[in-house]
Amino acid sequence: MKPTLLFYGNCQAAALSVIFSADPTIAEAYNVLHIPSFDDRIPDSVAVNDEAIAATTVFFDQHDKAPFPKGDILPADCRRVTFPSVDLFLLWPLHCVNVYNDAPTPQTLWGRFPYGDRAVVDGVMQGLSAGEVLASYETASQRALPDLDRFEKLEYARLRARDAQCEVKMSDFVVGAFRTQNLFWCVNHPSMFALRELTHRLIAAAGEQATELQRAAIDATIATLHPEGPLSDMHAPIHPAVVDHFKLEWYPRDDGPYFGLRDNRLTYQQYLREMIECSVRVRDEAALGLPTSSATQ
Amino acid sequence: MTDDDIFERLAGVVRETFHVLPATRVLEETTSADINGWDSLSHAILIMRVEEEFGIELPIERIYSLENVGELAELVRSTLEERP
Repeated sequence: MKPTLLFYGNCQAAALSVIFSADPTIAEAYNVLHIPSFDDRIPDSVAVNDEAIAATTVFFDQHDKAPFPKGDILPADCRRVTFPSVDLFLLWPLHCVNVYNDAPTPQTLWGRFPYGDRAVVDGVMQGLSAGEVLASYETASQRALPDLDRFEKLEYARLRARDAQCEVKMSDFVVGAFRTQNLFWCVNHPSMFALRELTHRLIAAAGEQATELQRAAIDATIATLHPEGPLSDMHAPIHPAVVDHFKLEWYPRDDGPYFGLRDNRLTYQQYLREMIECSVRVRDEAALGLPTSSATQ
Repeated sequence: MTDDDIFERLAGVVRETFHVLPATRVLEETTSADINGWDSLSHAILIMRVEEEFGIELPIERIYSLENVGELAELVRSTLEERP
């Protein structure tokens, strides 16, 4: 039985396991496994057996409120590398739980609009029609935006506080690169550029415990994968005022269809309109006591 | 401003920020886990609304180590006291 490289954490840990297992050198030497720290809703998600956990040589442990539940099975001499979740709310300061998201389907496991917008949610909550929410969005969103300079300081503090609890750090990279590089597709889904950096840092931290990891040509492997990375299903648009404030060099300035789900990319205006129409429909169905329907095109 | 005044105003900000239902009490021991939508992002939004409510700037190094609403109230109180 091959030794195990075990990833524990959220969807980012799953994405890392995809990258690691795509590398021929790594795949030949190790079983690369992921145990989610959340309900991943993936139908063919494979349960990891205790025997594979007991064969772990490197345990990549993402910092999480829910600690790894089978720590007692891990070998005492396995290398434990702690790393942070890589996220950035700074570019989406209006992000909130979308209580008006539509129902999940096999194609949209998290609904079509899992990432809420505070200005939209507030408008829908006030009982406005879809047309009214759309018409008032520019004014409402400007009013809802926080002081971005203060928010930036708070975000950096949040990232540093989490880094302090991990062996592998990422806040320096995120803070240093978010203006010039596309690091995130939405608040918690890093791009391949960011995942590549995290991959290199994890491999370096694993050290001599996993010699085959050090031999892997990980950049060549990444070049064979989807250039947007495993977490690019959903692209959330960034508010124009935020793009301007932080002078995001990489952000597209034209009106292209860049946003929403991978199979149905929309322009900024289309995304906004569809999210608002979906939210109002979900609200109205709930008021009538109807079950929330899934996406209607 | 008394400690009770500070807490009541703070609890009001918490209620408004997270749309807390009237039946749900906000107590000193209330934590983020007790309130739907209070996550690491909305924590920053809450902090900025608290700062606006009290006209202060809270010390950033303390903001992400707060355990509950009571500790946030204490931080507000001490920041108010230190205000020139």
